[in-house]
Amino acid sequence: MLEQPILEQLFRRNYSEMIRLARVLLGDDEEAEDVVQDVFLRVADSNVAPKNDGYLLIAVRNTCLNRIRQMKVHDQVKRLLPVETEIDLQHIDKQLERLDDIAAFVEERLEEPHRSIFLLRFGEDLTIAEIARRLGMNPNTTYKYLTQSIQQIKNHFKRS
Amino acid sequence: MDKNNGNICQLLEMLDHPETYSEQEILDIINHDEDTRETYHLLVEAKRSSRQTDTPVDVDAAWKRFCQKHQPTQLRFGWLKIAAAFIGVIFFVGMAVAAIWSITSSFSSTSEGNDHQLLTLFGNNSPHRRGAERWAAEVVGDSTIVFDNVPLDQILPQIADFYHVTVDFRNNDARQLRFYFVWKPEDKIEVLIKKLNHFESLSVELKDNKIVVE
Repeated sequence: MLEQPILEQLFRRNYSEMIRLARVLLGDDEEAEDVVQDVFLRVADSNVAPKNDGYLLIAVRNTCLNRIRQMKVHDQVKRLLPVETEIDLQHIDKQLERLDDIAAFVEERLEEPHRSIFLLRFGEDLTIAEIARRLGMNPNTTYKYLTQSIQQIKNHFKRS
Repeated sequence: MDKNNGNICQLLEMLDHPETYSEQEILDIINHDEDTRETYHLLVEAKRSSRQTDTPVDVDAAWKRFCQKHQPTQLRFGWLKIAAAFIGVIFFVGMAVAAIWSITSSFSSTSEGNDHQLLTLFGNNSPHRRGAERWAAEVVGDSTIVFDNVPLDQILPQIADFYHVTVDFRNNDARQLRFYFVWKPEDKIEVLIKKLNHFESLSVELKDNKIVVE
């Protein structure tokens, strides 16, 4: 078993980054905490501390992907999680950087009402019908704007 | 509507109501072609990007939760040890009863008239194998346990488990000291320590949840 002071030091130094990654990957705070605690329980039970802190993030990422793999397809798409997780085995920093870029693009480059529609769909998980109702728009028009936004982001990130 | 927009629309419709599609239909839509797969992954990323927040994380509270979660594992082992100790005692009693039954059935005349029940159990160092190494634990009455000629390093761990403490032998020679010791589990640990210190060759004290043998 790893000594308690070493474990606490590791926990305090890495927890914030680990929980943020798990939340981003799973979209569920409770499940994210469960994953991070699980990783630390494994670390606590081992006799040696991880070689570096990066290992802990990789362990979180892999544990999240394992959980996603075990879900049913319906649950995966309902929570907009990947149905194929191989693509997620890239460098974690690069993945997070790309997410920042997408968020910045939505914030800075999408115009209204495109941006609001996009954020209501992917930030608040509203359906197209619910967004249309909330914004007092025609559902077909809402579809059209959302499709345009997705196409715009796709084109931008394909080029870059 | 061009082909790409058509695929995006189909994806969005499916994502709004996945329960109306079968698993295969969902996979067919996502894997319709490379472009649709990429679009789905982009939507996954869009969702993830919305989850990226700089909300402060309460590490102290998380550490406390972790300790609570982590500690029960140790406690669970503690309870397992206690349970194992009790099972051990019950096993001792069972074996002893069997031994007594066997002795009484062979020598019924010797036990007749005895109102003091003496149960004797031979351990692995049975006199049949190693006469000089004979040791015995005796259970007298309901809970009192008598250790007869038992090495200290076999007596103390069992008793320590019962009181949720550990044993620290700082004097290795003391491990093999053999005692005739009567232990009443209802005794407080302080009483136990006092009783142990009645032995001239033994110096024992309770320090930080440890029975320290000097």
